[in-house]
Amino acid sequence: MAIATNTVNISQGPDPKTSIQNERANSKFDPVKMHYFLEGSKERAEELKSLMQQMERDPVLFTDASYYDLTKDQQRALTAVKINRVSRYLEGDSIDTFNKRLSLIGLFDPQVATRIGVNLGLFISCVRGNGTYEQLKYWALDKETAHIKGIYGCFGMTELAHGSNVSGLETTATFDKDTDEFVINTPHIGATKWWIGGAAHSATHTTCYARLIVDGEDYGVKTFVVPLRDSNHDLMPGISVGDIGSKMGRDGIDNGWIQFSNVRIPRFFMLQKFCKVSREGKVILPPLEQLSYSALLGGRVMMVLDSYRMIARMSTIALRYAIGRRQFKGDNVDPDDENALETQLLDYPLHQKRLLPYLAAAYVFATGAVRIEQTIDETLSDLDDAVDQNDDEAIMKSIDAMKSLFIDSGSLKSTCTWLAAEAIDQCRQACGGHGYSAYSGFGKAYNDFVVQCTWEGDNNILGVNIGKPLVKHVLAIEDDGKVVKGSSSFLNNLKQYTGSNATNVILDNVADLNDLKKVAKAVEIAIIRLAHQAATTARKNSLDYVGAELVTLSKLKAHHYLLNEYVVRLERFEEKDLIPYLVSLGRLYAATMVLERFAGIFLTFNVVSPSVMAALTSNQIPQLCKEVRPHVVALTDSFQQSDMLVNSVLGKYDGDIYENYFGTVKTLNKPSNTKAPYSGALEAMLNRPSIEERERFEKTVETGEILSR
Amino acid sequence: MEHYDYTQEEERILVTKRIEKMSKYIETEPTKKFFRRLQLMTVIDPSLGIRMLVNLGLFLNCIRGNGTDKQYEFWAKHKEAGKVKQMYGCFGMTELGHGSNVAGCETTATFDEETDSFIIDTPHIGATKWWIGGAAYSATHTVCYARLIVKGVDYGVKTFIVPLRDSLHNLLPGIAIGDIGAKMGRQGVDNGWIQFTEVKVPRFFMLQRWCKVDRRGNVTLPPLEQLSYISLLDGRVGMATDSYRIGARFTTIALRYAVGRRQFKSEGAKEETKLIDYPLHQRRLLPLLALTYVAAVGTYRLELQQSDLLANLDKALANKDKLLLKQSISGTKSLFVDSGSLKSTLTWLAADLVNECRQACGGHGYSAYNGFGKTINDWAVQCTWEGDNNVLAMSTGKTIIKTVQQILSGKKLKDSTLEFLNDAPALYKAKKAVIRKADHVDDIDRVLKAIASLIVKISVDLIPISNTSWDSIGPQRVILSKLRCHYYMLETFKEKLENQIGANSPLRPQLENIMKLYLVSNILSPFIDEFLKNGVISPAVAKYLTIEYPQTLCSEVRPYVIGLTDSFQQPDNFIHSLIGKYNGDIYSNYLGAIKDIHDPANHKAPYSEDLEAMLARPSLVARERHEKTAEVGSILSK
Repeated sequence: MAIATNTVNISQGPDPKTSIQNERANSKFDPVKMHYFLEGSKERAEELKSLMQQMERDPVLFTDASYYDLTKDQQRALTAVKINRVSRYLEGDSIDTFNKRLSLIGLFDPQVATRIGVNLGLFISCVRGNGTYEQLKYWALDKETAHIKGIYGCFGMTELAHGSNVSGLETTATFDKDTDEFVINTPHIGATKWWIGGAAHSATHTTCYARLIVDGEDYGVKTFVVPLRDSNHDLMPGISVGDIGSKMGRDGIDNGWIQFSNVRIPRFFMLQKFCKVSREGKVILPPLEQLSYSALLGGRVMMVLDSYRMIARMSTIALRYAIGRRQFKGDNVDPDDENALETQLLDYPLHQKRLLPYLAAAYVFATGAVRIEQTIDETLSDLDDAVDQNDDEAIMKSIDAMKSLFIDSGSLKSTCTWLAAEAIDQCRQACGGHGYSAYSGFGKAYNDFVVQCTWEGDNNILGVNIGKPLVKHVLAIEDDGKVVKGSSSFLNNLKQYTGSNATNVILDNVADLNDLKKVAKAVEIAIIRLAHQAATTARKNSLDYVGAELVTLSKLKAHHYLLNEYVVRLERFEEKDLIPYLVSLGRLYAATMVLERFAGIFLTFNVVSPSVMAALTSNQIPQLCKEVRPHVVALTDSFQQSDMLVNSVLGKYDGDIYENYFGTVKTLNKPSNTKAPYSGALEAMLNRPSIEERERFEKTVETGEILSR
Repeated sequence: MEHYDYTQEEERILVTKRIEKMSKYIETEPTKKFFRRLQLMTVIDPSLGIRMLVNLGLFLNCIRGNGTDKQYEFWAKHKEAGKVKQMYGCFGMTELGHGSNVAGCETTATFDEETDSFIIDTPHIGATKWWIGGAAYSATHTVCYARLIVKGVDYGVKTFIVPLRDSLHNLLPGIAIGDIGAKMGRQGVDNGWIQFTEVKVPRFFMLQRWCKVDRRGNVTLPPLEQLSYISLLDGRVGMATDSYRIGARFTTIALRYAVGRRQFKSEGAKEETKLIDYPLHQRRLLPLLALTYVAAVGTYRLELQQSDLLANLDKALANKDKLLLKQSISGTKSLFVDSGSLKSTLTWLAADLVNECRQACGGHGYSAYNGFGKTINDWAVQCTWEGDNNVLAMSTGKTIIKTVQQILSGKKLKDSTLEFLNDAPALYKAKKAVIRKADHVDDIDRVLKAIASLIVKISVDLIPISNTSWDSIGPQRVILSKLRCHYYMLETFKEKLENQIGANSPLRPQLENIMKLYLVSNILSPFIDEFLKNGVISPAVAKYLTIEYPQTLCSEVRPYVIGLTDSFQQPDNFIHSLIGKYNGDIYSNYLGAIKDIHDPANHKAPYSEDLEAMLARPSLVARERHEKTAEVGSILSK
C-alpha cells in the first residue's frame, strides 16, 4: 500500500482505476482498428479524430463538468458565443467535413449543433428542396447564410395547434395581384408558429410554411422566405416574436413563437422549384412536389448516427463505472477469504444483461448509420442528376429509391432514437445514485436527447407511416397479386408463411440463435405474419385501428435492416482477427434487442419455438454476456471518445472514479461556503420562539381565565 | 408557472420558505394529518417532500427504530426535531464507495474508554458520506451509520447521532461538509458530502435499542435487531403511493390534451380527429390510466398493512405478547416482500408512465411549463434511492423462490401475504394451461391463478440453479418481483370491487373495464412470453389477449376518460401544467402564460450584441488582413 498519497488516508480506500487499467492492459485487440469498423473506414475514422482533437483544444468549444451548472440564461449566451466560433471553422470546411464536425458537436454540446442546424440544416435545406437553384444561390451563398454571416435563418413550420399534420397548417399567404406581393398572416392563436428554434433571439429570416391563397382559392401549404428582423436586428413591422421559455432540455436554444400580422413580401420570396405563381396569379403545380420532402430525410438519417454516438458515450460511462465500482461479495468471491474485495458490478449477470445489449446496439447502429448515410447521399445525387437531365426513367427509378429510403430512414430514426433514450436512462440507473449527479452527464444527455423521439417526425407517427405501406402491400398482394419492389420485397413470400403455413416454425433449433442470417430471416417472417394479421383486422376496421401493430412492424423493419447490414459489413471487414468479437456482439444484439424484446410476437406467430425461446433466456444470453465481458474496456475504448466528449466524472479514461468525482464536486462547489446564501431563513426557522410566544401568549390558561370571566 | 424557470439557487430558496411554512402546520396538527399534507405537497414539489422527510422521516425513523424510547423522546420531542425546531436532522448512511451494501460502510466509530466517547472517523475518500440530503446547508445533526469498533473488534455497522453544526449554524470542529452540486433533478434539496475527522461524541449518542456498549466497553448484541429495519420501510410504502399520485397527475394532463388536441382529418370529415380517438393513442394512454386506478387501491392497502403492523408491534412489545410478536415478525417479512416489490415495480412503471404521457403530448410535452421534464428529472431517483429497484426486486425474488421451495417440501405458510403460493405443488404439476379460452381472461380468479402458476413454474425451474449461484438468476428474480406486485394489486382491486361497489352501481362497469384493461395490458401482454414459455397461457389465445382484446377494452373506456381523470380530484395547482388545466383551454392557457413569463417586448437577447457582431462581421479576406489575396501572392512569390 502506498503510504504517501495525495491525501491522508487512514486505511486503504477503493481503487477503481487499477481494475480498469488491468482490464485495459489485458485487452486482446487494438481499439484503434476497431474504431475503423465503427466509423466505416480508416479515412473516415481518422478525419473524425482530428476534428475531435481540434475542438477539444479550442478554447471556446472546450466543454467540461462546469457545463452542467449553467443556468438557462448562461447556456443561451454561451451557445451564441460557441456558434460564433464554429462559424469561423465553417468558412474553411467542406460541407462534408462540416457535417462531421457538427455531428461531433451534437454529442458533447447538442444545443450548439441544433441551434446551427435550424439555420444550416432546416432553413437552407428547405430553400434547397423547395427553391430554384437561383433562389438557393441567392439566399445561401450571396447572402452568406451558409457561413452564418449576414442573415440567420430559422424553420417556420410547426404551429401551436399543428405539428405532425403539416398539410393542416393554418398560416396564410394570400397573393395580392395589385402589388405583386404575398400577404402573410396568422389568422388565430392556433396558427401561431411555435417551437421555432432560433426565432426568439437569433433569426433574421424564416422559411414560413403557409397556405397559398390566390383569388380565394386555397392551394395548400407552400414555403415562403419571410424576413423577421432588419439589419439592425430589430423586428420588422407586423412581426411579433416571443421566447417560449424553459424546456425539458436544450435550454441553450432560443425557441420562439411568431405571429404574422399582414406581413408583405415580394412574390419572388416564395420558393418555387415546384409550385409557381405568375405575375397574373396563375398557379402551376407540378407532379413531383412530393420530392420536396426529401429535404427532411437528411435530419432523420443524422439522428440514426446521433443515436449510435449517444449510446456509445453512455455505455462507455456506465461500463467503466461498472468495472471500477464494487458492491457486495457475490458468488464469484470466496466466502472464506477475508481480504477478498467486493464483486465488480459488471461481474453480476444481471448487470451484464442490463448493459451489454446497449454496447452491442452501439456497434450494430454504427454500421446501420454509416450505410443509411451512404444511401441518402447516393439517392439524392442520382435524383439531382436525373432531374437535371430530364431523364424520366431515371427519375422514376429515383422515386422508387426514395420510397425505400423513406421507409428505411423513418423506421431507423424512430427505433434508434427510442432505444438511445432508453439506453441513457438505463445506463444512469446502472450507476446507482451517482448516475443522478449532474456531473455524471446522464441527466443533461437525457433531457437534451429525448426530443429526438418527437421532432422531425414524431416516432409514433413515423412508426404508423412505415407500418401502413407494409400492411397495404400485403393487402395488394392478396387482392391484386402485386409484386413489391425495394427493401420490403420479402413480403412477396406472403403465401409461403401465412394461411396453412402460418404455423411453420422458423427458429426451432437452439443452434439457429447463432446464425445472424437465420435470425434476420425470422424477423422477416414475423413482419410478414404480423402484417398479415394487421391486414386482416384492418379489412374489418381500418388501418388506424391497428396502429399499435403498425408501430411494432416499423420497429421490426428497422431491426431487419440493421441485422442485414451488420452481416454484410462483417463479411466485408478486412481485420479478420476482430471478427469474433463483432460476431459475439451481433449475436447478443439479435438475442436481446430483437428476439427477447419481441418474444411475445415471435411466440404468438410461431416464428420461434417455445423451447428455443426458453433456451435464449436461460443459456444463450448469459453465455453471450460472458463472452463479451472480458473485452468490455477495449470495446468501449474503441469508440475513441475522449474525456471531453464523454464529459462525465464517472466515466473518465483513467478510471479513477472517486477522485475524479470528488475533485470536480469540490472545485465546482467550494466547501469554504459553509453557509447557504439563504442561511438566515433556515436559522430563523430553527431558532424561532415557541408557538405560545409567537401567539403573544393569547391562548394560555391564564389568558383563558381572564377572557372567560 | 415561473417555478419551472427557477435556477438551482432559486429553487432551494423557495423550498426553504415552504419548509418554514410547513413547520408551522406541524406544530398544531396531528401527525397523521401532517404527513398526508406533506404527501400531497410532494406531488407539487418533490424537493420539498424529500427535504422535510430526511429529517422527519429518515432521521427520526432511524432514531425510533434503533434508539431507546428515551433517546427518541429526547431528540424528537425534547429537542423538538419532530417540530422542525432547534435542530434539523439528516440521514448519514450512504457513502461515496457504498450505497446498496449498507453493511459494507466504512466510516468508523471507535470506542474510547478513557473519555467514554466514540470517535467518528472517515478513514479514506471512499467512506465520505455522500448524497446526504440536507447536509450541505440545513442539517444540525446526522444519524451516522458507522462501524462500531471496540477494543479492536469490528461489530458491524451501527447508528450514532453526530452533531454537525452548533447553535449558530457553524460547522463543528472535525466536520467537513460540502455541497454535492447539480443533480439531474430535485435541485431544491441541498444534498451534501460529510467527512468526519476524529469527531468525538458521548457514548450515549449511540442509538442503543438493540446493541449496547457499556462504560467498560462490553458490547451486547440482541437477537431482534432485524426489526430495526422496519423504520426504513416507511419510505418504500410512501413511494408506492407517490407512484399512484404521479400517475394520476400525468394521465390527467395527457388525456385532457388528447381530448382537446386534433390531428389529421379522416376522409370526408369536417374537423380533424381528436388524438384520443386514434386507437393507437388509446393503446398508449388508457392502459396507464387503468394502471393508476389499480395502483390507487393497491398502495392504500399497503399503507394500511404497514400501519397495522407498526401498531401491533408496539402493542406486542409493550404487553410482552409473544403470539402477537410472532405474528408481527411474520408480518414484517411480508411487508418486506410487498413493499419491496411494489416500490420497485411501481416507481419503474410510473417513470415509464410520465415518459409515455410526455411523448403523447408531442412537442408541447417538451415545454418545461407542461410539467413533464421536471417531473421526469425529479422522479428518476425514486428508482434508485431507499433500495435500488434492481436490488430490491432481486431480494423479493429470492424470498419468493425460497418460499416456493419450502412449500414444495411440505411447509404451509400462515400469516403471510405469500399464502397464495401454498397451492404450489398443484400449480406446478398442472399440465393444462390455466388460460385456454378467450373468456377465461374475464374470470379474475383464473387470471390470479395464472399469475400464481407462472410464479411457481419460474421459481421451480430456478431452485436447482439457486443452489449454486443466486447471482446468475438475477434477471429472473426481478421478473418474479414484478409478477408478485401485479398479483397483489389485482387481488386487492378485485376484493375492493366485490366488497365496496354494488352489483348495480353505475361505477361497476367502468371499474370492471378498468380492471380488465389493466390485467391484459399491464400483466398478460408484457409477460406473454413467460406465460407462453411456461405453458400457463395456451398459444391459441395469445393473439386475442395481446392484440384484439386490449383494443376492444380501450374502446370501452374511451368515452369516460374525462370523468375518470376528473375523479382523481387534482386541482390545477397540483396538475401544474399549461396544457392540462381543468378548463381545457389549452392554447390560450399556454400562450397566455408564456407571454406573461417572457414579455415579448424583450425581443433582443441580453447577449444580442454577440449575435449581431457575428452576422455583421467583415469578410474573411478583410479579417485575414488581405494577406492571402492573389496580389499579396504575387508580391510574396517574387
